[in-house]
Amino acid sequence: MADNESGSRSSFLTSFVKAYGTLPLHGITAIPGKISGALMLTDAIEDAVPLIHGPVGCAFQRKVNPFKPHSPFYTTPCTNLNDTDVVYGGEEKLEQGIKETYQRYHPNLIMVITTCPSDLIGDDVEAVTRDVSSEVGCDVVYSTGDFVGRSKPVGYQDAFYAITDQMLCNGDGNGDPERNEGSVNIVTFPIHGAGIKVAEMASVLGDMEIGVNKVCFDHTRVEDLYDLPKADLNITDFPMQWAKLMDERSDVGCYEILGWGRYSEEKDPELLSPYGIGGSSRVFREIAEMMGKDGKAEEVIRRRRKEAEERLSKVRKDLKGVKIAALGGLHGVGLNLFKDAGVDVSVLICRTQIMESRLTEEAIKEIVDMNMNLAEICGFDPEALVNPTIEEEIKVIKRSGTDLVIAPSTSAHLYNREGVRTFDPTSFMIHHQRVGFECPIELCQMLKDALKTPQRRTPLLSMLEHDSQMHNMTPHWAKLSLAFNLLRSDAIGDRVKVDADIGGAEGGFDR
Amino acid sequence: MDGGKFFGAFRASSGITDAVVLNHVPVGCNWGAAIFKTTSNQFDMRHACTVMHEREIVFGGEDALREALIRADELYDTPLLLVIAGDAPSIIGDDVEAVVNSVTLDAEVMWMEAAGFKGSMMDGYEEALLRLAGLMKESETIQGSVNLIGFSPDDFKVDADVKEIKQLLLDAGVEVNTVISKCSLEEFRRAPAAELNVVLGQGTLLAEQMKKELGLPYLKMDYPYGLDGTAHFVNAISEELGTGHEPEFDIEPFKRVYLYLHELYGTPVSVIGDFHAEAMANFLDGELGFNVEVSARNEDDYFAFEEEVRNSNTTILFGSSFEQNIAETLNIPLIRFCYPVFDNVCVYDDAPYAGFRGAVCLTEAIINTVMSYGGMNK
Repeated sequence: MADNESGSRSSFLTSFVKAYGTLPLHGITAIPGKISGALMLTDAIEDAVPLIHGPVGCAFQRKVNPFKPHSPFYTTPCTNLNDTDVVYGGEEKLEQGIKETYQRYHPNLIMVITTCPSDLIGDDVEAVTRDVSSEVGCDVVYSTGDFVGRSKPVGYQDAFYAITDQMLCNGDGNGDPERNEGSVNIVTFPIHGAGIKVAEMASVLGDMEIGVNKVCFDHTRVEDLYDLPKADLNITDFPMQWAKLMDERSDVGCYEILGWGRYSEEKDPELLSPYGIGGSSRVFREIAEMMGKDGKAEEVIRRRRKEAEERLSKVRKDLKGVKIAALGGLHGVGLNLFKDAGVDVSVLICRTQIMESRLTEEAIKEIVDMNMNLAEICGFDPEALVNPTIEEEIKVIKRSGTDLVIAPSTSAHLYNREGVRTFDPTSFMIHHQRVGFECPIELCQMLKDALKTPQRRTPLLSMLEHDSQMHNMTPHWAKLSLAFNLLRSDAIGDRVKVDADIGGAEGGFDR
Repeated sequence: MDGGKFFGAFRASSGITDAVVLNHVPVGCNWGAAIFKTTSNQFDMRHACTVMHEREIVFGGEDALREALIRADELYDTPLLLVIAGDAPSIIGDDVEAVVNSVTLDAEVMWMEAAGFKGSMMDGYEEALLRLAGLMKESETIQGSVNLIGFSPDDFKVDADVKEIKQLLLDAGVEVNTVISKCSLEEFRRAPAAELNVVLGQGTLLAEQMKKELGLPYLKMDYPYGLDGTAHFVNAISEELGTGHEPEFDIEPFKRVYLYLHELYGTPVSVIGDFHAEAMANFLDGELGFNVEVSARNEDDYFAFEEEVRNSNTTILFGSSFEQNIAETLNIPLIRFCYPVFDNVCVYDDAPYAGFRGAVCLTEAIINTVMSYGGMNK
């Protein structure tokens, strides 16, 4: 009964997530800024409350969660700075705000998030939070966006760093707690549904005799955060500044699933491909090595892999000979997952327009090359299309006899109207793509379902004009996107080169 | 919770439907302004941003503004660029006027200073309209016409409500000259041609200025929710203009659901919102017979509002998307009727909440929400 309820809720939310995917997020026509990232982290800690130190408008607009607009950040108390405060300083209001926030909400943590005005007028936020914290019965931490440089997403990175720096590993003994020997923390982005997505990973680690100290963020409370330094290793999705700090101060190692740092040195595209049977085996092996469990791990990986491959061989039978048009880029369904599924990637489509204002030409070329290299490693020989028009795509797709296009719901109708079936990668990536051996099996089933869908020849969306290059937008929105990105690149002048920041640049939402 | 002056200025400015608003702000403010507008009309997005960053904070944002003006002028086919300077340029002292004067563009450029910390959302709206008034031009009076002042392009149901109000007034022999702020630049320019300004909740300063400078009288009216509220609205305007029209409404739709109306009579509810809230409370209380237990404005203490609602018998909440969580916490339905609404859409222009037909639609929405809510949650 519980599972059914959970399942129906999940599919209900899935439709919402997809609906909101069309909003101008992730740098298409706007970026929400550091406050949103800090709020996202605070919101993920059940007994924490943010306090926005700024004018009321900052709290008003920040109520919308960029990643879940249907579910606002409900509690956003604010110090309500006015023009007098901007002239004479807002420190008194901050002190008052912290006390009132505690009196009203009784949290175990208040995260003070500064804004443009409070940053500019130079309020001594550190002194105020330090002085007032003894007068309230909870931790008080502040995040300004300045702790982590350009590490993206800035707001999220900075707030987590602030918690580690000011609370968990601040030198008053918290950072040296009784260790939970042989255990790891698995810490993923709050929007990624950690509890569900890391269950298999935790199970495999358990077989390797590696304990899981904490999984974040899954009903995480402040007391859980205090337990983080007890582990031997922090496993994160990508490089996190807080994890590096915890390593320095509390000797908790850190492992990044997406090995950006190592990729920039080794240029091995498989380092950015942690999914599927091969990718997951590598990740488990590397974690085991760091935890000193190499020997045990090999046996577990072999056994779990064998079990999965036996089931995979059955489930992928019907997919033999199926041709797929896949999307290249940094984020998407991993090509090695298609290899596991036994399908052939006949066309590889790379779209670089959105990247052009933020990445250097070399970086974009490297992303395209990296995808081609990975395709070759996986044994595919696809026809590569870089920034094709939809007509060019359709022509190649039909000529190559491609059965299924990996296309998000924002552009699926363009293929459907031509009689080509599509597979929505967004839903798969949000709910299924993870480190583990079950993922390719789930992908096989989903691909088979997609191949059975009725052909839609007259989708309503195909009646709307879409931009010839940016297929997921109307020409007007494409212009908006172009305008925003041009203005952004001119104003910021921070085009990212070929290095470890590529991942942060494309996935980043701050600044 | 109030949105602050920047938001008010943005809402008023983006209501000039063929203008482009250039937000001279860091990315976060621009995102906020855009996101609230996105769900109301995803095609009608006309804004750009100077994307102020650390470099601009240290060295000034004037170069970024100049570059953005040139880019925006190139990229948009618009007669008017409206620059809104927010908190950061206000604090660092960017000379926006000098930058605007230093460039020659195809589009006319107007700028306004609207730091969020300098006032409320209504202050921003009022001041922006006063600034925009400089665009108006002398026009020959059109007898029996009015301007409607107080709308924003991202108000929930704005298109449907304006259409309904226009039709109601047309039936009364009154032509709507300009809807402020939901009109083209040309319509805005010829606002002085109206015989009367009708202020709905905000825009009083503009109406006062037009009265002073142009001799154009104005009426301050409640938003026309409900049968009684709408009749009063039309009657007052009709009387002022001497068209002598008695509005009629059709009670038939209400007969079809009279049993449900019996059941809902006396239902304890709470209402929160901007200037729409009072008119909504009047409809709910005076016409549907609900007991309005808590009625609050956005600028009131939100924490106190929540406490009062929790301590009341409220079974339906009327407000914006911001009230979603308290409604969920109390396990009661939420009827969204005023800004900001970002978790409901309204694309059908013939389903208003204002006017006579609006009373029917609103009643239908309330009954449907209550019935489906009970079915899902009990």
